Amino acid sequence: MKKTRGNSIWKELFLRLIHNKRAIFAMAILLLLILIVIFADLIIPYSKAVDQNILDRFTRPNSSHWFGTDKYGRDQFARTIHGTRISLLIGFGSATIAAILGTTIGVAAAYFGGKVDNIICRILDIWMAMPSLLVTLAIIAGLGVGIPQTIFALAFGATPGFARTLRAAALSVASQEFIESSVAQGASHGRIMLHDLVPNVISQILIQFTMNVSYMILLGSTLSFLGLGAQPPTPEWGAMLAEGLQDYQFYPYLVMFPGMFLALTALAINIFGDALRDGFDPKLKGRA
Amino acid sequence: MSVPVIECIELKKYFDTPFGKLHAVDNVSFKLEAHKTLGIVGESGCGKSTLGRTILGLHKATSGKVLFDGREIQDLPAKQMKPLRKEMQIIFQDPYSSLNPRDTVSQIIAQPIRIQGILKTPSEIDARVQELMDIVGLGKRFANTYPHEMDGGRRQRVGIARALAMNPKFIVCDEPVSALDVSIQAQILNLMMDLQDQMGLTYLFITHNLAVVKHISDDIAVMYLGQMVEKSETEALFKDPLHPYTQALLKAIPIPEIGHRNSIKNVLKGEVTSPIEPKPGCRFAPRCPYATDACRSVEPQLKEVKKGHFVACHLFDDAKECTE
Repeated sequence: MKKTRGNSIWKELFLRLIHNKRAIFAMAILLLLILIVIFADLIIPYSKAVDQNILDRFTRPNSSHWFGTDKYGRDQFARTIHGTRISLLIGFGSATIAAILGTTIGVAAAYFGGKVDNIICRILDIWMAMPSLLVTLAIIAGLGVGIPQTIFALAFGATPGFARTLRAAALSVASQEFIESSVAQGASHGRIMLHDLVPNVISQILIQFTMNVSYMILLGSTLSFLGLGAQPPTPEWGAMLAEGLQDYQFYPYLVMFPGMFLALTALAINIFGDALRDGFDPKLKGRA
Repeated sequence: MSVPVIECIELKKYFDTPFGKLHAVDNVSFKLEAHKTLGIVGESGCGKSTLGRTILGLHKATSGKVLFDGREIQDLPAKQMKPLRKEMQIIFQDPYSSLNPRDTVSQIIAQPIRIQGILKTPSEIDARVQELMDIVGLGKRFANTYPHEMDGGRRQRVGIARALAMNPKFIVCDEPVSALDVSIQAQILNLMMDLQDQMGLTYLFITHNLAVVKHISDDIAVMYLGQMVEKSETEALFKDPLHPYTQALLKAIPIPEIGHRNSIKNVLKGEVTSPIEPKPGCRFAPRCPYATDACRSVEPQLKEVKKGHFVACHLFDDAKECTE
């Protein structure tokens, strides 16, 4: 319930992470990205990312435009920095929604078992059988383009996979006797799921969540690249790639910088996810 | 006679399996008086644990009745069951999986108090947890430790403290010592007997260990494949076992004596038959040295052949029903 005193699992995880060089690298990049998200306006004003200046178009990277300018003369550095906000918002937003929905569905399936589990699993089967990009496109077609719609559509596609993993993790917890003990004490279903099951699968939730964030960032950029995510003139990495693609043969820096940020972000989050998995792995802990 | 704390009437619990119905508990009836301990013995898979859990409503009974203080409880909805949960608790076999690994000892013991809302303020709850830890002999220093930091005996004490938290009347003890070292077993058993004296508890004590059950029980019921085959006072059962299965069980107790090694005779042959869709007749018949045709076709009923001594066996068909 309350984690006021240092719970050993978190201490151990922390120790494992700071002794893992790749994890340090990933955390450094993530910290940098978070700082960028928070202080984007201090680094460079948003207006520079959207204001057009036709006289300055296609400037190669120099001291006043670090990442150069595009065909409208917009500063690519400002666009990349402010694009971080949008990309991370899409990634974290959709992964959070998928985590909440997926955990609820997965844990409920594992806890109630029997018919409920069967019905939920069949629904998940159908849900996962639909090609996710197609469904995402269909949802956006139905709801219209925009960032909230993108987040919702991505979350919808990620939820069944999340639920599957969490169900598997919660199943092994649900069969333990302390769950029965809570029933014998008169605990409600909700309390048992929230207090007994979720804390015991928190590691799987975190790992899944992290992996989903990087995937959602990439998928969000894919949508923007296709013109279905962030709309111009909103700066977003995928959208920048799509715009830069028209002129990249002559001005390769237009796709280089947003592409680099995108790849580096996904890489860092994936490495961090791997480190989390290693950190939580009970086989490495020397105790069951 | 006073109203028994627990009474089961033709209690049945069947599980659905792909191969048919598994008769885990079949037609079990008994009464358990206050402040007494009923030991349930039988080999693995005979339905002992299922019986305990069905009585507490952790498994829904297939049919039959469970009476707690004379009140039927087997079909009560969760809302009406909740206040009754205070009165009946369970101590589990495995002190590893029966404690939530994410909670500290004090959180575990406080959980039933919080769920039932008996005490409201944190200081009251803390005091009660402290008191319970004292009762079961756990030092104050363990209040903030996690279960994995303790040894098996101490964990089991946590489990007992949790069961006692609401001052229950009746406790199902599901093999509470079989996962512990022998020296710790004795400590825990003595603790449980002391608690019974002090708090007037009633135990349903499930075990496969005959030495343990002899030590703690007033009465013993022997189960075989979901059915109760014999029930009697502890003394009488050990002195004069009636059912062939009970006799075989008692013979299997090793006797600590030099040269005794090869003297065990009449060891039961064969395997326990499947509890799924059992054949008619006595379930023990395929392994019973005295089995007759009647045993293979007609199911024997539990019958009081001596005062307080019940047995379900065709060998005693001719014995007169003992009426008081």
